[in-house]
Amino acid sequence: MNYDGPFIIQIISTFSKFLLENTVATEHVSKKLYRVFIELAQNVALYSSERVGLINGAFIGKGKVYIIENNDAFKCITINRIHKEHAATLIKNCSEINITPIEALRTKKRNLYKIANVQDTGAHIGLIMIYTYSANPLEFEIIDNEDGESYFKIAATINKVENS
Amino acid sequence: MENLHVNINPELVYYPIVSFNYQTGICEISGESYMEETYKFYEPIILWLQNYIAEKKSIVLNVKLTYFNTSSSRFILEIFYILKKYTDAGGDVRINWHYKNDDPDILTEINDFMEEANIKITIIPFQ
Repeated sequence: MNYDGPFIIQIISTFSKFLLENTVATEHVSKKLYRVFIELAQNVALYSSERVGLINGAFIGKGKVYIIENNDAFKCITINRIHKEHAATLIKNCSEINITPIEALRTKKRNLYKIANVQDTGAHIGLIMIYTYSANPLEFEIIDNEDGESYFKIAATINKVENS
Repeated sequence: MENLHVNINPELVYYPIVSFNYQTGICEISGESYMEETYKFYEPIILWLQNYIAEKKSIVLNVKLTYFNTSSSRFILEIFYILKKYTDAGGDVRINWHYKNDDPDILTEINDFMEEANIKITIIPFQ
């Protein structure tokens, strides 16, 4: 499954329900894929620097999502344009999440709730939740194109047989 | 003060159903929560809650959320902070969270809410 366009809530909801209802996997694994997809998709909606105007006057982030399945796992990948100056923070946050023990991440998440603006909890907590739900390291990179634009690519893997 | 009932559209599954009863003090939030502009949805709920507890009435909050995104978590936690403050001031508060017993990710989130808000949540598993 793949999609390229604005990540409006109706599209996120339709795709996520499709994943939940049509994924051949245990209910728990399907739920993990569902939740990871929504968190990744809403990161694009909120933080992509490529914005699309909607009829109601709001602007929503544009990007790409791919769901890939192999024998062992599902992989959910999103790509969205970012402001160049955010690249280092995204890489730092993802790198830290991957090496932080899960209990410490839970504490970090709670601390972030305290400092987050009430209207915007920020991408950092979302990244922690993606890591927690997927139970696998985040794969991420910054892609610079020849026009000088930067894109954030992130992938979360959900194993079909859960980690012990 | 009137009851608060929010059921925006049953087909828009990213909005939870909210039913807060002023007479009985039984309040329920159920479904899923991952809408855009989360604060617009939760602001009236938080306002209702603040006005309700200002009357020193008892409250039972039944949470039956099966999924909530990161933005919604912030507001759910805000509700628990308000109820914790009310409890500390002598308010009669009970919180029940009904969750499907094969969903450990939700259980983890409930435990994190309890720890962060320092408030008791009775966890009620169902099949």
